[in-house]
Amino acid sequence: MDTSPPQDAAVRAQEQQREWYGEPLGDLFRRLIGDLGLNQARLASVLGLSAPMLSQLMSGQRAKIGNPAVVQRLQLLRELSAQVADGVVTAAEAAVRMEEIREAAGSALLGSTTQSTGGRPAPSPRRVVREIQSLLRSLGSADELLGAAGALADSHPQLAEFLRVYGAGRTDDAVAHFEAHQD
Amino acid sequence: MGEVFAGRYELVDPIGRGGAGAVWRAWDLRRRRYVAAKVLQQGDAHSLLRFVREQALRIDHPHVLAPASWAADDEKVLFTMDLVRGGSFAHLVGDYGPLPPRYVCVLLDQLLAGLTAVHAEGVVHRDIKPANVLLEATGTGRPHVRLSDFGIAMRKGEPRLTDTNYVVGTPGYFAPEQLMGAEPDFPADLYAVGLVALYLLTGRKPDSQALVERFLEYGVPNAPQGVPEPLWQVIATLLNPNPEARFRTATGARKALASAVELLPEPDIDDEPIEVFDQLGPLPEGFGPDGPIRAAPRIVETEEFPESGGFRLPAPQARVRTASGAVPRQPAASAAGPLAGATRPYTSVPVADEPAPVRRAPGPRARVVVPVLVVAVLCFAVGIWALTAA
Repeated sequence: MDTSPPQDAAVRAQEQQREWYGEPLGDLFRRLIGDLGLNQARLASVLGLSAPMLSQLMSGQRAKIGNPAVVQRLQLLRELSAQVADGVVTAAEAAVRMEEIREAAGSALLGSTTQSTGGRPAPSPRRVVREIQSLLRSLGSADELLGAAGALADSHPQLAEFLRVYGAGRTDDAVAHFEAHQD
Repeated sequence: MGEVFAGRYELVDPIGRGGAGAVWRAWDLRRRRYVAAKVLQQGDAHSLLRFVREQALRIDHPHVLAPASWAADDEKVLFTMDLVRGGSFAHLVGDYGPLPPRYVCVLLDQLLAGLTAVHAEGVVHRDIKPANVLLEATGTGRPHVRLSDFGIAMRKGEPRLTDTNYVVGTPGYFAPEQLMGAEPDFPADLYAVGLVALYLLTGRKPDSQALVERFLEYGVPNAPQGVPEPLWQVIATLLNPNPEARFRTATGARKALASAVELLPEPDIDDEPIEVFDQLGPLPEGFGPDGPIRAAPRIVETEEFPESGGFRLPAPQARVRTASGAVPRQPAASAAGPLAGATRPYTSVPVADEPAPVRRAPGPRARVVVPVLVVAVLCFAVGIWALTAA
């Protein structure tokens, strides 16, 4: 269990959200609400989330959007809101489009047909690597990780390499390491 | 204030929409509690009304949410049920996507337990789908499933009354034999449970037609991605297009499921904790935990209830004026203020039933005054007795 105070947990969740979604979901959702003329309930309905879940994600009580279909709808909404902000799409057109996005539960709009048997699509190696990197770097600075790698170099060379590559190396090297070690 | 239905149920706010009518949160003036109330046109209410008359008394099971009573008013009929706050399987999958297999097994086990009780009364549900399987708001605790919506349920072997009964059910969650117009039978419900299981595990609505075609062409399909093999063995037996080749009973499916759970991997520590939220918003303005907030006391007389029936309780108090009607209510002026701004955060903690603080007018309330007076009178009596005895 997490024993840190709630504010810390929320701050950390928002950091993770920045990593995964580009910005904290509170900021992102508020911008979508403003640009697309929605309220929270309506945004939740278009995304396919319940109101309490939307509220937890916005406040950082929960970091991750569990449903991949929601992540995809979020991406579509984000593109739409940018188009509205640029004046490329009118409010009326946006309303129609939002209805399509809401209905897009696993349809072609949400991408590949290879998922039609269901199941979670495997995340890309780069994404996995980034999560490992962000986890390691939340535990210690690059220097500290290199120090730890040095300490382990003799007794556990492979672990030392892991710390060096993911903790202080370039992402491309880490991806290469990850792919080389996948079965 | 909300509309009062049949002199007994005050409609508070809409909380859902079923096939034929809306579901409201309502205040039961007689029993003094919030209930879920499904309001149907008389014409649509036929089969539900019959179901309630015949069955509700008997299907009393922790995983079944059957209508408890009904009331009629002009062209409409209202059915009441417990207020279940945690949303449905559809909410759960919307929020979390594909659910962990062990969690799904808990949900399915409870669903099948409820279905066993329904089938034991000779009733075929005929409309099992994610939106009709509700959850209590248990937060991060063990989930609690309630199978609901008996709007098109039928007794097995009972003649279908109308043509409209013929084509009912939700497209996509039909058993193939149901689509072809077979008489309602228990295995059709089990097929629907199989589809619901796939929905929970994959996070998307299964393509029933494609499954049937694959079964017919190649036999049992391979396990879909994300569905562990032992669990798929059970689900595939529920999804066999041939009703004869399916589990014959919900109990049978439950047993197979229990064995399959033994073979599943331990839960992943990285799995997001699943929390079944309270999906009902806070009460709207004008309503408190103890019911509507009114200006003047109202006397409620049971004689006002023209046509209604209670099933869970034989209602011995039905001829008696309810005591609740005589309890003076607090003046609205004092109560509406603090409640207007009261909101309840969405949390797992089942605080919903805790009464929100309601500020009252100065002066003790009746609940305090009466016992105090009784004690005073007793003391007085004892004093007199002591004096006379001495």
